[in-house]
Amino acid sequence: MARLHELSVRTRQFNTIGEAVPEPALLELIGSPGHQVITVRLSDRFGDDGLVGGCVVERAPGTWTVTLLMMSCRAMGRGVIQALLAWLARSAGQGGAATLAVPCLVSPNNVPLRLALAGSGFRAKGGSAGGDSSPDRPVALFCRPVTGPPPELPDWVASEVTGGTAGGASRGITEP
Amino acid sequence: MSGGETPQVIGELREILALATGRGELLGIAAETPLFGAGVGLDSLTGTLLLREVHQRFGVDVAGEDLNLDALATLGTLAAFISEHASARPGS
Repeated sequence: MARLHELSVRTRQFNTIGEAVPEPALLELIGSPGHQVITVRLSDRFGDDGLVGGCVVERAPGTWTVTLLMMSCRAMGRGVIQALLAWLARSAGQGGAATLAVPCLVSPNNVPLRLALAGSGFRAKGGSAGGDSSPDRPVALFCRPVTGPPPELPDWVASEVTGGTAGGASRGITEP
Repeated sequence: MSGGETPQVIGELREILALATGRGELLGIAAETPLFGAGVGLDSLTGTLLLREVHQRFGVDVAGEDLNLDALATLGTLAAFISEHASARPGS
């Protein structure tokens, strides 16, 4: 939990909201039946980077919305954000959703995240994310359909359920 | 800059991509080559390096002017975007 909070404070290039999330709020999300909290761990032959990212998914009928996505720049250029987005799209499709949506602050700081979204088939819908957006803080709703063939997942990705309550779950995506 | 200079822009973009990715074979790719996926395989890191270098060389902020980054569809679409937006800049 402390590491997730730290990621929300420290990440800029891969962060959809650009602001810190207090630990109690993260705890509440993990226990929430309508949310799934996903953590990303990364290790390779050079070492174990531990928990490098996480996201919170709100699962509504028809649409899964990633309300928070953050990842350490240590994972940059290693295919991890692309793997996470592919994993999310596959999970949403398997979960019966038609669309995976990612509201994302549009900022010069998180262009790497927008590159990952563009490369993973997401498109901004309607130019802004309605009530979440303001002239000072533009937020665009990036969406991709998940009803077609699922995106390929790199063979080094492994996922596991590591805990959760009442439908809320925490998953880990690891590079073995 | 005018649209007629796009081939020159494409040449410079090939150099930038080869440097950003460390892959010399990108010096010979066609204008129709997709930048994401199986084409160039642009990712967050190489894409950021590309956009930064484009901004420095051509004065075009692709990410600032193209929300969906449609300009990055292919080498040719990026060159056309740069030519169009650089020519729209006062004094260029």
